Amino acid sequence: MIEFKNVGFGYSSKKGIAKIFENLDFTIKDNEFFCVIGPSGCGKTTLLRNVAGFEHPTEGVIMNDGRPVEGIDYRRAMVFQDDAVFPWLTVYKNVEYGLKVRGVSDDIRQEKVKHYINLVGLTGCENALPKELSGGMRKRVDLARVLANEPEVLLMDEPFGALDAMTKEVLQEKLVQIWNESKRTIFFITHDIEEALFLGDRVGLLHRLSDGGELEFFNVPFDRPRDIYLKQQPEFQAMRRRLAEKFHQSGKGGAES
Amino acid sequence: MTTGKETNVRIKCYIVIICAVLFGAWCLLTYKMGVRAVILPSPTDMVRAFRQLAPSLPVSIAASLKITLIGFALGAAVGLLLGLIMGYSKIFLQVIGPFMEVTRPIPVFALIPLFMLWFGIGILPQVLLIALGVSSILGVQTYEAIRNMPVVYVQAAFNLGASKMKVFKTVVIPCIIPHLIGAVRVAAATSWGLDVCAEFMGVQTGLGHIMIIQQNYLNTPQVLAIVLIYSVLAITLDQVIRIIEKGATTWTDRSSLSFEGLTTEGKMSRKEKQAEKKALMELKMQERK
Repeated sequence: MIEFKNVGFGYSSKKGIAKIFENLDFTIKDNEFFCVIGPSGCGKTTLLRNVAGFEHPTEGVIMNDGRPVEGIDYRRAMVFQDDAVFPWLTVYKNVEYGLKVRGVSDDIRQEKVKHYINLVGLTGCENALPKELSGGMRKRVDLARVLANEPEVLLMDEPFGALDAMTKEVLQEKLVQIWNESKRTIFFITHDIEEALFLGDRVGLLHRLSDGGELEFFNVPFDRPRDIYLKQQPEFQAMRRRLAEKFHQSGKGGAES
Repeated sequence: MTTGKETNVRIKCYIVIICAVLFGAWCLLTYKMGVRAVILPSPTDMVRAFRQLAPSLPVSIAASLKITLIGFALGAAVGLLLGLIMGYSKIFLQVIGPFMEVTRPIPVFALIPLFMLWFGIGILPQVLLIALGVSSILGVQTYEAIRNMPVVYVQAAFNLGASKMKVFKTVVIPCIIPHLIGAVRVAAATSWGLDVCAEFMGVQTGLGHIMIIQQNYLNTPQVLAIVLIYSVLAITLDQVIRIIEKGATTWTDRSSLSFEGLTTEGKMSRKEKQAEKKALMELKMQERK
């Protein structure tokens, strides 16, 4: 369970503190798939980085399982928007990296790496270097590398943002499938409303601070397991439209100010 | 369009032609136009010079090679280490950095007389001189390479459970190596230069030492012969570094220049550019009205 208690964040600049968001007060339940959408500049990535421990709230506190988040921890694993796969290591060694630096013993390591490479569908590519893989495959490596550490919380910062539409759908389905098989808390940031609705149990729309900075919640009612055809259902599209209207109101307000 | 093979043959032809022309010019100048051997020795003079030098060569080459390689290795190790520590510890950087900034621009060659006063005329001052020159190049380059590396790799490594020390060993070092190859090659070339200079002033053995003696006798053929030997040594070291580079950078994309094979279509001709300028002027005139 991740609790946000009156969390606010601002960068200190020459003019004083430039606030990004403030007064966020909510909870992400255990094993919940929670997606946050919002216009660019609303601070959604910063919020996620605060949970990961890369940055620290300037107001309030973020609690993970009752303990305040104080630094980076592999149990709160981040999947970055940028390509973070180490280009100098093979696929196998990339996936093994977290286990190795944490000192997990050889035989367990081997077993887990094999399992997670298989899980993301990369069996046979173990000895390939990242430069030989496509963007979608590199994202799979990244996912397997993070999952191999078996984190309690997955923090995903627009992980599929740079992929083409087809690859994106395949990976969304893969992610949902992985989450169904072994439940864990996922905090997923995206600017793609469809993606948020397809993946999440609950979607949060974060407004820019200039538009009030409110975080609005929407429960996603669709049954699981979900497949990609859900996106064509009228109820799905209706909800998407409702969210899109809110989203664009928020975006417009930001542009005017 | 030409195929790769054809281009290769053409390139080789050009190289052979250029070599032939250069050799021809050399022969013409020395045999036919009577340029004196003191200014430019003829091919025959060069062969004779090499013959005369031959007995003393093994010892001299070994001496110079020893000094240069020890100095280069020592300097590279110190430079890399300093750069890494500067990247690792902000306190170290802030304390040591200013001193390095002040001392770095001092030409190492200017220190030769001082080094000889301080460390005598043995092998030590020369090795130290070369090491100093190499380390100041590599220290700065290492630190800059660390600063320029993508942040996301470091963040990802920390987030996968690595400690700061592990991040340095497993992420920072492999990541910066390709960016250091250029600096290492420059440093290797510099170390030969430093070796020549150091030998001019001190030691009783080595190639540079022979060179300065022969120069006093105006024996240009032997001086030139030693220059050639130095070039061969420097090129060999450079080639060794390039072979190591190939092994260390297989994971990068930089096998070829990024410009290669790219052509543009529809380049603007001068007339078109002029026409555009004219149109722009007219537009401005209209705006004023």
